[in-house]
Amino acid sequence: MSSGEDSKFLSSLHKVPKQRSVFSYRRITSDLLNRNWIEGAIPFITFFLLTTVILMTTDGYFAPSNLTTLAQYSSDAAIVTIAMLLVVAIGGIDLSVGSSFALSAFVALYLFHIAGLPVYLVFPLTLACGALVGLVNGFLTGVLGCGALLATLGTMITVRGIFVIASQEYLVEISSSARFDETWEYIGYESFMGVPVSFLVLAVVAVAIFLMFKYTRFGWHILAVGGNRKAARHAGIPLKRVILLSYVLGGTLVGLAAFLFAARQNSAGSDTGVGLEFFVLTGLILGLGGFTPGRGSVFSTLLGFATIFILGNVLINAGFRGDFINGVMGLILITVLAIDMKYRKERHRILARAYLDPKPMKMDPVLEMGKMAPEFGSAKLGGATLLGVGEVDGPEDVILDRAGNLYCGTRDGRIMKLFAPDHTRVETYVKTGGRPLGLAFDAEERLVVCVAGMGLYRIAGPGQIERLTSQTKRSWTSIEDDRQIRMADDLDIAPDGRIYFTDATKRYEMETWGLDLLEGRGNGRLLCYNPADGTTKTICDNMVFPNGVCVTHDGKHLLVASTWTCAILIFDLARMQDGPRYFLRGLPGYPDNINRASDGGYWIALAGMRSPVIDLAMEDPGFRMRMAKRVPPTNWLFGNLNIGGVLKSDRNGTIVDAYWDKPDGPLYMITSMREHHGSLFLGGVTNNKIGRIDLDEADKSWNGPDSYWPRET
Amino acid sequence: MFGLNRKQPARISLLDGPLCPNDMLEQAVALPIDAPDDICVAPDGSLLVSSGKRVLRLRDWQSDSLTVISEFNHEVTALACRADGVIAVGLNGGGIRLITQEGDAAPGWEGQENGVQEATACTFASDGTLLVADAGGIDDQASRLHDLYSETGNGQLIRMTETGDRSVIASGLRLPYGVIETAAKEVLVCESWSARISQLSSDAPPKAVLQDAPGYPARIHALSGGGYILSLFARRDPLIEFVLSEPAFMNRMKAEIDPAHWIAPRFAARADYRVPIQMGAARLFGDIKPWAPSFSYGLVVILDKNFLPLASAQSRANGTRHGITAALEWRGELIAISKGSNELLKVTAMDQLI
Repeated sequence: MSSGEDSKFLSSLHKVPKQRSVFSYRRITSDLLNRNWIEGAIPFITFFLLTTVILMTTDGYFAPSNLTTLAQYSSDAAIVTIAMLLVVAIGGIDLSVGSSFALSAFVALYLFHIAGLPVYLVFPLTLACGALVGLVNGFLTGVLGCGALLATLGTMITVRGIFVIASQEYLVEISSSARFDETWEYIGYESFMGVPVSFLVLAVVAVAIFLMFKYTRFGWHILAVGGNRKAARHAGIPLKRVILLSYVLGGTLVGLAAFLFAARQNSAGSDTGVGLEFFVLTGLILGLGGFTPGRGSVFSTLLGFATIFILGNVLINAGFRGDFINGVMGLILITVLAIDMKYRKERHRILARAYLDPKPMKMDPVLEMGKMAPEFGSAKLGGATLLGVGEVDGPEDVILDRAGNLYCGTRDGRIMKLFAPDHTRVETYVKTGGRPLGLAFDAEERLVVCVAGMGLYRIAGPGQIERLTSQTKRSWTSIEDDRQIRMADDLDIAPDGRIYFTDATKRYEMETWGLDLLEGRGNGRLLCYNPADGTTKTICDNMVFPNGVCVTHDGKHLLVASTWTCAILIFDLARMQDGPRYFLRGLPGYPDNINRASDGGYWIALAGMRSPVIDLAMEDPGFRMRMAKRVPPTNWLFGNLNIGGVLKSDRNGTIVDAYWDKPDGPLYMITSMREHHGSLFLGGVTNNKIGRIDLDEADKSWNGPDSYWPRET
Repeated sequence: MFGLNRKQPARISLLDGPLCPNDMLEQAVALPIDAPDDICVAPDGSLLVSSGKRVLRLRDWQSDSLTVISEFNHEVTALACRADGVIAVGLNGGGIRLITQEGDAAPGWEGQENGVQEATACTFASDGTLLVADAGGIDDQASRLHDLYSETGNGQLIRMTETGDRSVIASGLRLPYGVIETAAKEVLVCESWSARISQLSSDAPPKAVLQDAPGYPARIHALSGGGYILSLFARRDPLIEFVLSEPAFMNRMKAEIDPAHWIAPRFAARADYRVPIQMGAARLFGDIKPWAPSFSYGLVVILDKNFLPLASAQSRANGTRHGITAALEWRGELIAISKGSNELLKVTAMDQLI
C-alpha cells in the first residue's frame, strides 16, 4: 500500500470512542478500603474533630504557652505509650507500666536526692530499673510462655507493692531534699529553642522507634511475631529472644519516661503512675484504631495518645471530676474496640462485594460468518499434529526462531524450547518466576517476553534473563497505585525497536482475570517500552482487556485485540495520540493473540466463543453484580472457553478463513498461533500441548523473524 | 444490614451420603437406541423401549433381540403396560394410544378422544385405570424450558378409564414428568420444575413427599420390596436458580434468544458453541473436571418407602450418560435411559446397589 492509500484506508475505519477514566463510587470505596493508610486515618479524623471542637469552644487553648505546658507534661506518658506499642506490636500487653513507672521514678529520686549520685549515673540506673521490670515481664511471657495479661498483672501488683513499701520510707526525705543540680533542672524544666527538653526526648524516641520498625531487622521481627507468631517461628525468627528483648526495650522506655517525670516533679506520691496503663492503652487503641498486634505505627499511636491527653486536659479544665473523665476514657476504649471489630469483620466482605464493579457493555452484533461458522466447519484443526503433549503446561504464546526451534511459556514460569526439526526434544530454556505470556524476537533474535505479574523481560540465551520494565507512570485519576504492570500480556516490536505491549488488566491477576470479563470495563492499557532510553510510557489507558499485539506488515500500524469487546483495534504508530480505530469488530469469539500471516494477512486466535446469553448479561451490570454476590464463583456465567479457533483476516480486516477443532477435540482454547514455513503452530493457555497443522496454500519459505527483521542479502 | 434482608437462595440438596458422586452410569453396559425416552416392563418379562416414533421390545440384553412392536406418526413420549398386556403409548402432540402386545389397537380403548396434550408419563393404577401426566401444551424441549422460566404450571394429572371417563386429579403442575401409584394406592407425581414429588389426594392439597431434589425428577418406578427408583434428567444448578430470581434478565432471554442457547438444564453433555459455560467448567489440558458445574448430569436415585435416598448411580460433568429420563428394575438389574447419549443402560445388579 502506498502511504496515500494507507491513510485513506485508516481514515475509513471507525474511531473507537474515547474511553474516559473510570469513575464509580463502588470503585472508589473498594480502592480506599484496599489502601493501608485508611486505618491510620481514624486517629487523624478523631484528632481533627477534637481540635475543631476545642477551637470553637475554648479561647487560647492552642496558645504557644499552653502548648509548651502540654508538651512538657505529656512527654513522659507519651513515651510510655510508645513502650506499650512495642509490647502490643509483638502480640503482648504490659499492665505493669504504671507500677514500673512509679518505681523507676522513685529510684531516680532516691539516687539523686538520698544517694546523691551524679545525674549521669542516675540516668542509666533509672533506665536499668525499668528494664529490669521489662526483663521480668519478658521472661514470664516470652521464655516461660505465661499469658501476657496475667503475667504483667502480677508484676504490676508486685512492683506497686515494692514501690509503696520503699516510698513510705523515703518520700518525705526526698521532698525535703534541697539538692540542686543544673543538668537535673535543665531536663526537668528547661526548653531548647522553645521546646521542652522532655518533648525533644520524646521526639527522638518516636523517630528512633519508627526507624526501628521500618528499617531494622529487630523491628521487622517484632512485627512478624505480632502479626503471626506461628509463621514467624516457621520463618526462623527466634521468638523467645525477640519477645524478651521487646519487653526489655519497652521497660527501658518506661524507665526513661520515669526519669523525665522525676526530674520535672522532684517528688513522687502513692498515686504516681496509677491508672497510667489504662490511659496509654486508650490512647494506643484510639491511635491504632483497635487492638492490633503486628502494627508499629508510632505516629498514629502518638496522635491517639495526644487526642486522649488533650481531651482529658480539656475536661479537667472544664471542671469535670477525675472519675467522670475515667468513665469517658473507658467509653472511648470500648467504642473504638467495637467499631474496629465490626470493621475488621466486614472489611473483606465489603471489599469483595465492592471490588467487582460491572459496567454495561453493548456488544457488537456477531459478524456473518456464513459457512465459516463452527457448526459448518470441517474441523480443519481436527487432524493437527500434537507437540510436547504433557510437557508444556499452558503455552499461551508460541514462537519460532529462524532455525525452526519452538518456544512457549508455561504456567510454572518456565519458557520451554522445543527443538527443530520435529520438536520432540523439549527443554527448559529459561525460568522467569512469573507467568510468561506473549513472546517476540527482537532484531538481535533475542526473545522478549511479557511475564504476567512481573513485567517485560528479555532473554539473551539459555538462562539469561533481564528485566526491561515492570512499571509505568501512575495515572492521575486512580486511587489505586497503578504504576506496577500487573498482567503483561502480549507484545510486538516495531521496526524502530520500540516494544509495544499490553497490560491486560490493572485490577485482576493471572488466576482471576476471568472476573475482568464480568466487570466489562476498560481496565487494561497499551504500554510502550523504548529500549533506547529505557522508559516506559502508557500509550492508551482504559482499554477493555487489550490482549494480542501485532505490528502490521508495513511496520506502520499496530493491531491490538480487545478481548471482551470481540474487536481488533488499529493504531497508527506515527500518530499514537489519535487513539485506536476498529480494524475488525463483531468477532464470534474472544480474540487473543494476533500474528502475521505469510500472505500479508493476519492470524487471530479465538480463546473462546461468545454466546447470546453472555452478550445479554454484558448489557446488564446489575445481573452480573448480583450473580457475583449470590452464586458461587464456580457457577458464574462465563464465555464458552471450551471451544476456540483461529480466524484468518486479510490485510484490510476482512475475515477470509476460519479454523476450528472438533467440539471435544484437543485444541479448544486457542490463545496463539504462529506461521512458519507453511505450518501453523497453535498454543492454548489452559492446554498441555501445541498443535501443528500444515497450510496448503501458504508460502513455504516465510517465517516470522525474517518478516520482522529481513536479513540483508 | 446484619443479613436480615438477604434473599434466601434456592435450596438444593447436596450430593452427599448415598448421593455421593460415582461413575456407575459411565461404567454401565450400553445398548445404542435412537432417540429413546421411556421404558416399561411387559407382563411376559420383556422390556419395552421407546425409540423416536417406535416402540421396541427387548427380550434379552442383546441388540439383535430388539424388535419393533409398533410405529406411530408422532414421537413416543410415555410408555406403560398393564398386567393384561395392554400398552399405553403417549405421543408427542398426539394424545394416548393403547395397543396390544402385538401392536394392534387395544379393544375397548380405540378411538378415544382423551384430550391429553402432551403425555410425559403414564402408569396403570391397580384398578386398571390409566394415570397420565400431561405437561400441558409443552410439546418440545424449547417450550419446556419456557415453562421452567415462568411462574405458573400448565401441567395436570389425568385419570382415564376404559369406558372413556376422564377426570383431572391435579392441575397447575410444573412439568409433571413421572407418575406412580403406591402400594397404599396413593398417587405420586414428579414435578420436575418444582424439583419435588407430590402425593395427590382427592380431598386435600398435594403434599410434597420429597422436595429440594438435587436434580429435576423425571419418571419414577417402584422398587421390588418397597421403595422407588427415581430418574433425574439434569442436576439443579445455582446459576439457573439465580436466573430464576432475575425476572428482567429472564424475560429478555426468553424474548430475544433461541432456547437452544439459553442458560438451562439440558439432556446432553455436549452443547452448541453458543451456549455459555460456568466458570468452573473450563477445560484444563483438554479435560472437563468431573466436579465441574454442568447444565446436564446423569442421576438415578434409589429411594426407600419414606423417600429417603438409599443409593445412586451417576454420570458426572465429564461423562456423557446424561439426561436420564427413566430408570427401572428389570430382571434384577437397574436399567436406565440416557437421552444425552441415546443409550439404554444396564447399570448394575440391584443387590449390588443396595
